[in-house]
Amino acid sequence: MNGIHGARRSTRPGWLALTVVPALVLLLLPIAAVYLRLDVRTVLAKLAEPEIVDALKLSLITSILATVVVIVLGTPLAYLLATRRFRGRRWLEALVDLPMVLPPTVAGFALLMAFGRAGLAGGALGAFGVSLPFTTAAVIVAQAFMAAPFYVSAARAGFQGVDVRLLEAAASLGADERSRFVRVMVPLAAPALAAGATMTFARALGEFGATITFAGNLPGSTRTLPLAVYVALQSDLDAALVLSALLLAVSFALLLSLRGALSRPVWMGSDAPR
Amino acid sequence: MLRAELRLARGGFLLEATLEARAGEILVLIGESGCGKTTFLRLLAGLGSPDAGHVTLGGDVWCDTARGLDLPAHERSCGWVPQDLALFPHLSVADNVAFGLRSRRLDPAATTRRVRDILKDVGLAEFATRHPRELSGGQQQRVALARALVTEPGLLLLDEPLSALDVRSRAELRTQLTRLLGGRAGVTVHVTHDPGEALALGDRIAVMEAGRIVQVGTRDELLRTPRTRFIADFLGINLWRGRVGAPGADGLAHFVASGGEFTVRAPGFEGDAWALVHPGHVTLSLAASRGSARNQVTGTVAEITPEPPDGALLRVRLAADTPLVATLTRDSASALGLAAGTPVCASFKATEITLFQ
Repeated sequence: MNGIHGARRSTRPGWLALTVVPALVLLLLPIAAVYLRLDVRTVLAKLAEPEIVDALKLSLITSILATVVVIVLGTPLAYLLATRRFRGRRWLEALVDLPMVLPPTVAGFALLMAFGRAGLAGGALGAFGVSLPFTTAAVIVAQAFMAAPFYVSAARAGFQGVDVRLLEAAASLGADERSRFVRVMVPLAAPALAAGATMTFARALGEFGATITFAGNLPGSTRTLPLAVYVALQSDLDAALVLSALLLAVSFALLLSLRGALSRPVWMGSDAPR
Repeated sequence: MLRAELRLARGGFLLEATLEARAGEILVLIGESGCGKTTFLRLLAGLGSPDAGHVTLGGDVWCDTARGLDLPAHERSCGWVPQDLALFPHLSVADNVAFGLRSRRLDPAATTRRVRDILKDVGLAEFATRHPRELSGGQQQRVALARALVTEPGLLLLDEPLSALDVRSRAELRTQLTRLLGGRAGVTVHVTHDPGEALALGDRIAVMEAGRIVQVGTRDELLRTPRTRFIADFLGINLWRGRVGAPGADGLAHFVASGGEFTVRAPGFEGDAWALVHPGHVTLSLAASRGSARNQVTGTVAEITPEPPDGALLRVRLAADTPLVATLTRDSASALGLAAGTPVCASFKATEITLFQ
C-alpha cells in the first residue's frame, strides 16, 4: 500500500473525509429509515404470511434459474468476445451491455413485442401452444435479460485476464481449444465467473420494471419480492418494511461476499492482490 | 530428423533461418537477445505462422506454406519449455506434469505411473502435491522440463531454460539436463545466449545473428574456425582440456590440465573434460590474493585490448603456464597499473568453472 500515492496521503482525517459525509448520509439514511421502523414481532408475523412466503420462494427460484440461463447462454458469448477479433465486435459489445442502461420498462415492453401473442416470435411460439407473457417463465426471461450484462462483462474480463502463455503451454501439450477452455481458461477465470454470477443473481433478485411489464403481477406465479413490496406499499406498510429490509440485507450480503468473503483459491496465495 | 526453413518479416525485422537436426541430437541455438531465437522456436512449435517455409519432423510435415499447410501447436508432437516456464498455477506439480498425457487420453493408471517415474527422475517425487508457487526457481524449472518430456515429444524446444537460475542451481540443472536429454530419441533444440551453456550441452551448435543462422557445427569446428566476429567474441573465453578427479567429501574435485591444476565443484562425472571460465569471472591482482578464490594462476600481461562495443571493458591476455583471458574495467586496470609485461596473479572461484564432457 506504500506506492506513489502513499507519499501524498495525509495521515490526519482531513478535508476529504468531510466531503464524503453528504454522500454517506444519502446512502445510509434510507437504509436506517427502514431498519429503525422494524421490530422483531412484526418481522416474524409477516414472514409467516403466505403471500410473503410465496413471493420469497418465487424470487429465489426465478433468480437462481435466471442466473443459470445467463451462465449457459453468456459464457460462450463472453469467451467469443474475449478471444476473437472480428468485424462488428464493437456493435456486439454495445448490444450485450445495452440492458444495463435501458429503462427496465422499455426492456419489458420490447420483450412483449418479441414474445407477446402478436409479437415477432410470439406467433411461432403460439403454434406450439406456448405463451410466454404473464408466466413464471416470463419472469425468468425478464430477469435474465436485465442481469446478463453483469455476468458477460465479468466473464469476458476474467477470460481476457488468463495469461496467454499458459494457453500456449497447454496447446504445446496437445490440448485443443475446447480442452484449453475447460482445463485452463475456466479454472483460472473461476473467481471472475463466480463474481459475475453473484452480481447477476443480485440483479435478478432486484428486477422490477421488466418483470411487471412482461410478466405481470400475478400472486404466486409472477409476483416476486420487489413487486410484492410495490403492492404492499398501497395496503400494508409493515409488509413493505419487512420485505424491503430483507432485500436490502440480501443484496448487501451478496455485494460484501464479492469483496472480502469471496474466498480465493489456495494457489493464489496470501500475497496475491485483492 | 528435423528440417526447417522459415521466413517471417515483422516490422523491420526479418527472420530467415534454415536448420537441420538429427534424431537424438541436442542442438544448441545460440545468439544475443533479440536475434530471433525465440521467434524461430515459436514457429517450430506452431505458436505462430511463418510468411513462407516448411517444417518437417521425421516423415511428418508440420508446416508447408507452399501447400497451405500449417498444423496448430496441439497437433504437433512438440514439447515447449518457454523462458517463463508457464506452469499452471491452479494445478499441483503432478497435475502439471500429467497435463500432456491427459490431452492424449492416456489411461489414468499409465498416466499416474509415468508422472511418478519422471518426477523421480527430476528429483521432485516428494513435491508431487505442491503447487508451483511453493517451489524454488530450480524446482519449477524441473517441473516445466518434466511436463514437456513426459509425453516423449518428437521435438523438444527449450527456451533459455537455465537463464533465470542462480549459479548454483544452474550448475545442478545443467548436469541433470545432460542426463535427462542424453537418452532421448527425438530432436532437442536448446536456445541460450550463454556460450558456456552452449559448449557444455550441445552436440552441435547453431549460431544465430540478426534473424539468420550463420554457422552450425560441432564444438570443435566452432572453436577452430569461427565464421563471424560474434562467434569469435563469444568464444573469447577460457577453455581448457583436462581430467576431473574423484570428488572429495567437501563436494569439490580436482581438474588437471596440461598447464596446471584447479579446484572445481564436483560435476558428477570423472575423466576427460572441458573446463570453461568466463573472462569476467577472473580477478586480477598484483600479488597472490587472500580472497575466497581457490584457483590462482601467476603470469605476466601479454596483451591488453579494448572490448567491443565501446571499450569500457579491457580484455587482458595473460602469458602463464595456463594461458588466461580476463576482462576488467578501465578503472581497475589503471588502479593496478597494468601494462604489457606486468606480473599479475589471476584468481577465480571453484564455482565459476563450468565442466562438461
